[in-house]
Amino acid sequence: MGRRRHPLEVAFELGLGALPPGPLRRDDRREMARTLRDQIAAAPTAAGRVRVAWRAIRRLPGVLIAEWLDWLGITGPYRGPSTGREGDGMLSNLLRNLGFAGRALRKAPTFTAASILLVALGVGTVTTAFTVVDHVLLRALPYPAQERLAYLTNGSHNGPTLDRLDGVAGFDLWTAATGHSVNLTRPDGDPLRLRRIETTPAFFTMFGARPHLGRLLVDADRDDLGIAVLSWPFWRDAFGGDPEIVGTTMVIDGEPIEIVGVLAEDFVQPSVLGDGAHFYRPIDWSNPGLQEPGYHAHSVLARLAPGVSLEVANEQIDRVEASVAEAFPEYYDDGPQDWPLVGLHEVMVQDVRSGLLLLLGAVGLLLLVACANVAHLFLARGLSRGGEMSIRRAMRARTWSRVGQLSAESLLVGLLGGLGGAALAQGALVFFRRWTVELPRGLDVAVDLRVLAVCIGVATATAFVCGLLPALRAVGRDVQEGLRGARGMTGSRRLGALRSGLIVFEVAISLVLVASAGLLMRSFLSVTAIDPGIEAEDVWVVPLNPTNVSSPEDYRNRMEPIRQAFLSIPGVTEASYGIEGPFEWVGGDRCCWSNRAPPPDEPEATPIRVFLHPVSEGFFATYGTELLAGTPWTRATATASPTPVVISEAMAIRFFGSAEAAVDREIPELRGGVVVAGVAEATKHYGLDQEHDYGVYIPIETLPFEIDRATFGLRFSDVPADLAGAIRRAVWSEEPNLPVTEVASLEAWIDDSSATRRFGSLLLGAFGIVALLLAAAGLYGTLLYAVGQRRQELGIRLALGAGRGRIQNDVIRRGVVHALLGVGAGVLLTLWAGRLLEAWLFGVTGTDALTLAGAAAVLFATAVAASWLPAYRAGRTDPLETLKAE
Amino acid sequence: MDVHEYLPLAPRDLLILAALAEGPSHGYGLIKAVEERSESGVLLDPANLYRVLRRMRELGWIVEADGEDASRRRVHRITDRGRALLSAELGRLERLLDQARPALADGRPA
Repeated sequence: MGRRRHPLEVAFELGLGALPPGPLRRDDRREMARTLRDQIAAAPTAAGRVRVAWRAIRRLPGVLIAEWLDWLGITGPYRGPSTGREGDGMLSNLLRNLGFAGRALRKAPTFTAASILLVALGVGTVTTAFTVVDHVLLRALPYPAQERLAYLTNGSHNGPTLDRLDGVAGFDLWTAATGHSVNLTRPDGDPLRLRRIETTPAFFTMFGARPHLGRLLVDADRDDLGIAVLSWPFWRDAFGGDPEIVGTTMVIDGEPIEIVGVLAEDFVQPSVLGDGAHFYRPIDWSNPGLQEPGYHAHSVLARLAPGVSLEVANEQIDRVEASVAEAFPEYYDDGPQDWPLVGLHEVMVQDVRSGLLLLLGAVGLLLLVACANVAHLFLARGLSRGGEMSIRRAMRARTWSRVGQLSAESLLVGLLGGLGGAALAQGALVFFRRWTVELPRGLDVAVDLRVLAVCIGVATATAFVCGLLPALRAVGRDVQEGLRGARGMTGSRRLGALRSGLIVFEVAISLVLVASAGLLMRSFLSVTAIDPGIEAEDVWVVPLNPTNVSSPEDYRNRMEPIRQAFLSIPGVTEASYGIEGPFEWVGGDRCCWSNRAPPPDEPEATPIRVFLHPVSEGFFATYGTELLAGTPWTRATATASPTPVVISEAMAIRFFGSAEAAVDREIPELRGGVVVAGVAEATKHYGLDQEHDYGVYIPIETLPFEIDRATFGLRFSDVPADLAGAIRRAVWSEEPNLPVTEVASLEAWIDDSSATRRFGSLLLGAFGIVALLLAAAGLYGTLLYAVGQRRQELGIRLALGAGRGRIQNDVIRRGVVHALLGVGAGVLLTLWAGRLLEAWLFGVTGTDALTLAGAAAVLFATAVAASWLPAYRAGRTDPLETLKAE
Repeated sequence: MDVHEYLPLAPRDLLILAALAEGPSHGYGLIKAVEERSESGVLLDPANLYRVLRRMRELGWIVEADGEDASRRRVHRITDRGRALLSAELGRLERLLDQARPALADGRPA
């Protein structure tokens, strides 16, 4: 065992992994590996070892195919005594044909392995994409009466809204939920940051939740804030799955909370409420803020009564909107707000639908290219077996029995390829889950029987169609011609046209994929080239979630000492905080504090939405954001009236024409009046690909509400070795129970903001490369075959004195013509497909000439390279050899 | 069982049975024995060998010997049925040779 294994031995053992399942074969596999090990150990020379191992590997594909055919019951493992019973029915015909086909394929292991691999590759990728699409887009949500569940969109809601919704006709159930970060203090170990969802008992009814231990929330719990229902994973991880947990207490934000139950393992929290909560608690209705019409905190979910349509339900909601607006005119001065009620499933998938469909489309194109290559293989095989088929035809075998046999071969290839594809898909999905590509319902994705059936169906249909056409061709060949030898010109010319068509098709499809990948790649590059208006190098960010914040003063009084503690860390040159950090939230809208105000010089204009960023002193120095005009406020001037603010360049231009013109101007309509103290360079807060927003940096000293978030930024001149430790000690010197869950570099946050683009361009790039290789292989094979067919003619031409260069040019010209036709068709297709892509593009249009030209050049160069080797071989034809061979 | 249904044997099968008739052997031993006998005319590779051995086991020509050898490799042994088959095939070949040999015998030293 101590001996190091030969690399070829490892390859052999990996290949053995593809044997069919079963204890017998597992045993044999072990013995096979041992036997080869013995053989290698006994070989006297290195060359001998390679020879022995290579022989074992070369014979392996044939054995693998034979074993799988046996395992599927298509061929017997041995030729036993004949049973003497040969039925004439359809079924026995099919079985007999499958048996023939199995034996025929076994005799051509290279062909069989290549076709199976191609089908498996195509089908595996399509199945992976389809599984994801099926789970995310098509499948019903795992909740009772899921088709009646709906979500109130357009922001979060408050007490007055909820009170009015509860009595509306046409609904079964209403629930509201809101997520909070809280801290669990543990006697042993660091404090833990947890996610708590506050909700109503109806939440559990609506989502079909069952308790694993204890009970869930009930109506009687309405005002009891001292209880919690744990999620199953939290119970398992933090409490070791303690079966006696019900009735014990845990300390949350310094308060003891009684655990009354644990949810069942299969409960899946709807993703519209964000990440899965650690525990659930009743809503705190005593909070006066909740009754405030301007306080938006709750996501609202409903279950429609049976038979009520969304349209009817929405009419009811319109009435609620109107009554809220009427009751609180001071909050709704421009009339009622629109809160469309949307199906829950729709809400959960709308963001990813187009991306997934793009993926499915790209994968479908790849399948087409793989299919075209399988068709090539069958065509080539059909040609080489023309003689055999003609003999059978001359022997009066019925046409359909011959078609039957050939299509049985393609059926078999499809079946085996389908199985391989299913295995590939399973592997790909494990990869998907491992890399947690963010999908709303992504965690539970797995290949199931339904998808497996689709997968094998696609494979079989694919191979059947790819194989049948060449089969009909081969059978249709003239008997005379076939018996005369494979040199008959008319038949191969027609087949040649079919193969040429396939090549043109492959090149065209590959071009679409390569060009799409190019467009996405250029979008990614133009996004990352954007200047965020921030010097991210050497800046580290620390998001904190202080709890039990009682007032804005309390918030500031607790955060400022932490800032001072950070400033005393050696190497820190600047530190500041705000209620959010740049790039902490990506995409805008769901995160931010925004107000509307008209520019002061156009009081009649529609108010413009501006984003408010309450930040502490030192913010601009920390993030390296330059001030184009004016100076920032200081702690001394922060509380002056009107409030001094710094606005972004985009806003200065929109409101006042230029940065210089903005300084010292007032905006009376904004937060009771502010004055512009300075103008910051254009910054991006919510993603590099977002518009420059109209940002207003207001002093944290004027923050009007309490909040449980603070994101600190630290600029270092010299990053200490124990960065995280130093930061944690600084926080805990002021707030010993505050968890420090993340210390990230700002550069990483900025990178993450374009991660989806990077992933998309890499994925399509990979597909593009595979398609390119397949097209090149198809072209290469076709030309090589054509050269083989024309050896005689080439030999004669060479003998008559034609130059080798001329003959090589002829072959290359053929490749180039194919490539040109394919590139032409591909360009047209891309011009059309590029428009579909435009939603994902940034800084480049779907019909971008440069990208298209680049992709065409890549395809063309590949095609010429693929033509060169067959051309070289044509030029090396030995006239004497070929003429003698006749 | 009528052994004649399985005749003639493939050269590979014949050589494997012949090697096992001399005594039980594991996979590598069989490959070596067959290659020596055939002077490299028949080459076996591990993957095919175990496929053939499984078929022979299922047909009852050979069985796995009890226990394993010192290096824990599985050892195969020929059965009575396998022996009967081997001798039937050898008999058939001998008769065939007897009938064919006179063609070359006259006028030449045997």
